Order: sequence, then C-alpha cells, then structure tokens
Amino acid sequence: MLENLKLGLIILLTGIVIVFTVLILLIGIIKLYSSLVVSIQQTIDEKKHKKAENESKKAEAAVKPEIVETAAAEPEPPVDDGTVPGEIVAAIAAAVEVIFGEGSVKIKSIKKSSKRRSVWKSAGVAENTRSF
Amino acid sequence: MEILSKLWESILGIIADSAFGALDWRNYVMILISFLLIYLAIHKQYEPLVLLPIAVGMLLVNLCPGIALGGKSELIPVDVYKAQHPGEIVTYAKTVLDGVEYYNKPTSGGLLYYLYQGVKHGIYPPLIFLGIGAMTDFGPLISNPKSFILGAAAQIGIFITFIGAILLGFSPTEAGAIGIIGGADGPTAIYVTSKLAESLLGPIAVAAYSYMALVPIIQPPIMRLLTTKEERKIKMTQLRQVSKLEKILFPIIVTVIVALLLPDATTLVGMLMFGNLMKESGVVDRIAKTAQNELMNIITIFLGISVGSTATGTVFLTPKTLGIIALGLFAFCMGTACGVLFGKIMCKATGGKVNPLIGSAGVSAVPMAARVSQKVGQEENPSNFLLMHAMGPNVAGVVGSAVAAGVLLSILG
Repeated sequence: MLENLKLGLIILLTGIVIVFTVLILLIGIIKLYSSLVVSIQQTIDEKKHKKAENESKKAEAAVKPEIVETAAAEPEPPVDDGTVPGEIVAAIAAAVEVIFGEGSVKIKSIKKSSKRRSVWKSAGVAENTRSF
Repeated sequence: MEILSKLWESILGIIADSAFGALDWRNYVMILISFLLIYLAIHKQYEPLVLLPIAVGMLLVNLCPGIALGGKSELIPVDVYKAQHPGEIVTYAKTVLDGVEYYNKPTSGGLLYYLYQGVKHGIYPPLIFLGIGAMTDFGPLISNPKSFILGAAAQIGIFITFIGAILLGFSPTEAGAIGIIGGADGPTAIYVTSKLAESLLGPIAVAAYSYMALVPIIQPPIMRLLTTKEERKIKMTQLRQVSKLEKILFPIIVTVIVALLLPDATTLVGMLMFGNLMKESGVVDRIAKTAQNELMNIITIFLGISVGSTATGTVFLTPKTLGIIALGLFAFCMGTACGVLFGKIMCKATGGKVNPLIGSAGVSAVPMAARVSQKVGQEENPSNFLLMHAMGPNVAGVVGSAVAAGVLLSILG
C-alpha cells in the first residue's frame, strides 16, 4: 500500500508537471506563430492595398479628374448606386466598419452581384447550414 | 404414455438449453440495469448516442453470454475427421493427447467478440477522435491560447483521483483507468482502460458517459460555490478573428510537439489533429464529412455495443463498481473545481478580464461543458455571452486529457 501511495504521489506530480509543461509550451508556440502569420498577412494586405489605391488613383486622374474633386469634397461618400435599398447599404456599411475598424475604409459603391447560385450550390449551402 | 414422457423430456431439454436454465441472478439484475439505461437514453436523452448502444450491448450479453464469447478450438480425432471428410486436404493444427492425434478445428465466436476487438486493440477511440477533430473549431483556442492553462488545470482531478483510488485498494493500473474518468472524455477513458485495466471497461465506460450526460447537473453548484457574483458577471472582450493559415498550422504543430514530447499520446492527439486538418484545409471535404458523420456513427455503434457487452453480471455487480462510480464522480468534481480555481487565478492576474466560469469547461465534454459556462454566466448577467470564450478551454481539455492519458500510459502501461 505504501509503495502504491508513493507511486500515486509520483504520478500526481509528474502528471501535473507534464500536462502543464506541454500545454504551456503549446501556448508559447501558438502565440509565436500567430503573431508571425498575422504580421506577414498584414504586410501582404498593406502592399496589396497600397497597390490597389495607387492604381485606382492613377485611373481616376486619367479619366475624370473633376469628379474625384467633387467626391472628395462631400462629407459622406456616395454609397447608393440607385439599385440597392438604403437599409441594405446601412447594414453592409456597418458590417464593413465592424470588420475593418471605424473610419478606416471608404465605401465607394455597392453593386448587386449578377452571379446567382446554381441549384446544386444552393443545395450544398442548405445542407451545410441547416443545423444552424 | 410414451409420447407424453417424450414430450416432457423435450420440454425439459429446451428449458435446460434456454437462458432460463443458464443465467445467473446477476444477469437478471444487469438486464434490469440495461432497461434503466435504455429508459435514461430514450426518455431523459442522457447521451443517447452512446448510452443506447451500451445498454443494448449490456442487455444482449446478459441474455446470451455466448454472443461475446471468442472462437474456440474443437479437438476432433484425426481418424474420425478423415472418415467424415474423405479426400479433403486438412490444414488444421494437430495436437497429440495420450498417443491419439487430434485436429484443432476452430469454431467461430459471437458477433460482439469480434466487434470488441476494436476496443481491445485501441482502434475505436482514436477513430472517434478523428471524427471529433473533423468537427472541432480550434479558432477560440488559437485566438486565446491562454485557454490551454484552464484545459490543463481541469486534468488535475485525474491525478488526485488516482491517489484516492490507491487509498481505496485499487491497483495502480486500475487507479489510472479510474482517474481518467475525470477527463470527461469517453473515448480517452475507454482507450486508457483498455490498455491498463481491461476488466473494468464496462463500469468505467458507463460511469464516464453517465457523468458526461450529467454535466449540467454536476457542474453548476461547484461553479457557484467557488465564484462570487461579481466574478460571474464579468464580460469578456471579443475574440480576434483567426486566419485560415493559423487554423491549418495548428493541428500540424500540436501533433509534432505532443508526439515528440509524449509518444504515448500520439495516437489520440494525432488522429484528433488529422481530423481537424482535413476540416481546416478545405481540400478534402468529402472525407472530412465522412469522418464527421458516417465513420463516427459506425464507430459509435460498434464502440457502444461492444463496451456494453463487457458489463456482465459477474464483472459489474461487485463492490469495485461502487468504488468506480464514487471515484468517477469525485474525479469529475475535482476537475471542474480545479478549472474554476485556475479561472479565478487568471481573473486576478488579468485584472478581472477573465470570467472564472470558463474554467469549468476545461473538462472535455465538448460542447456541453462550454454551454454550462454560458448558462451559469447568463443567470447573473443576461447580456453576457461566454460560449465562444468557454469553447477555448473546452477544446484545450480534449488535448489536455489526451496528454494526461499519455502520461498515465507511459508510467503505468
């Protein structure tokens, strides 16, 4: 019995130490790779964003320079292209602001997607979302 | 008159061959217990997916013990066999007894004997883990990796119960199998028990799944006892979004780290993470869905019915079973309490940013334990949503219990 009790104490200590060590090690590694992945993705996103901004500026300057000035002078950017109802525009704007942060993104236009789901795609979406 | 006596003899023969003549009183008690489990599974819906197959396995094996018996070798004298099967090329092994040669002709075992081989050789639990991995979103854990501490804390109950079991007179291997009930993870409990104390498989599986079903009843009083009203009201900040790349890297990294540090946990953790990699990679949707649904369902049936078939009267109706049931409950309560206490420590360390209630979700029981954290938190503050925060420790508990299983197997196995 005394032998078993000794073994019990050994297992108690070993178990706690090993479980905590392994999981704390995982915390460190996850934090490390998460920060790496996030910083790499941010740099890629920034580069893409800058590239896209430069291209759009160049295109706008070449085609309609007056319109850009007018748009810049307006307090709120025009977001309704006439086909999307106001409530939907508000909902999309709110969702975009939540994801990208307040004031960091300017919505220039909202268009209805012309692509409609095929019957098979709709069936797939229904199958995957039915449980929710 | 002769006809009547023959008729009577035939009736007596049928009765002698029937279960009425062969069954022990303990089998009848077990049949009643299986009825109770069937009632709990169907009417009360206590873990019905597992409890129903276990109950039916228990019922079948106690009605007809032969259904779980293995194949045997029948000894047939070589001369007799050759006379009965002239010209046949015989490949059976031979045994010589008292100068007479016999063929060892194998006879087939019962269905449940063959299904049980998947439990005995530790095949079903890792396959269940494959399905669990394919269903689990580790996003909340990746966005808040500190949850791993709560997943580890909830495993302390396993090791404390180990000492309790030793004090009650169980052998070290039996104590290890009993302690793992505290991990609140059915497949892990079955896996460890099949390796350490196969004879206790029935009582331990029934205890583990019963307590998992009773999570909403067992955990809340412990959570309320160990936390203040103010702590239960704490709202936690929203978790950050986790990118697809992080989710893909997670299972690969966890597998490599755990396998290198604790090879005995590789089977469980490796399969869990393989299932998750299939889900997160998004390139093998077909097999990921199979692992989540068809494979998982088939294995659940096989696992449940074969585990139930180990619960025969002679094995189950012993004082040991009572000890296992009491120690299992103790392990479960200790796991919950340690998780909540570490939640309190994290709450203090972060200046009140962590709600200690999410600590109780560190015992696996996915997702029931996380739901309990959410429910108890909302009782104090209806606008509080702890579910996603509790899912972090909850899935960390699955990894933690697999690691704890690896520790027990490496020391006691």
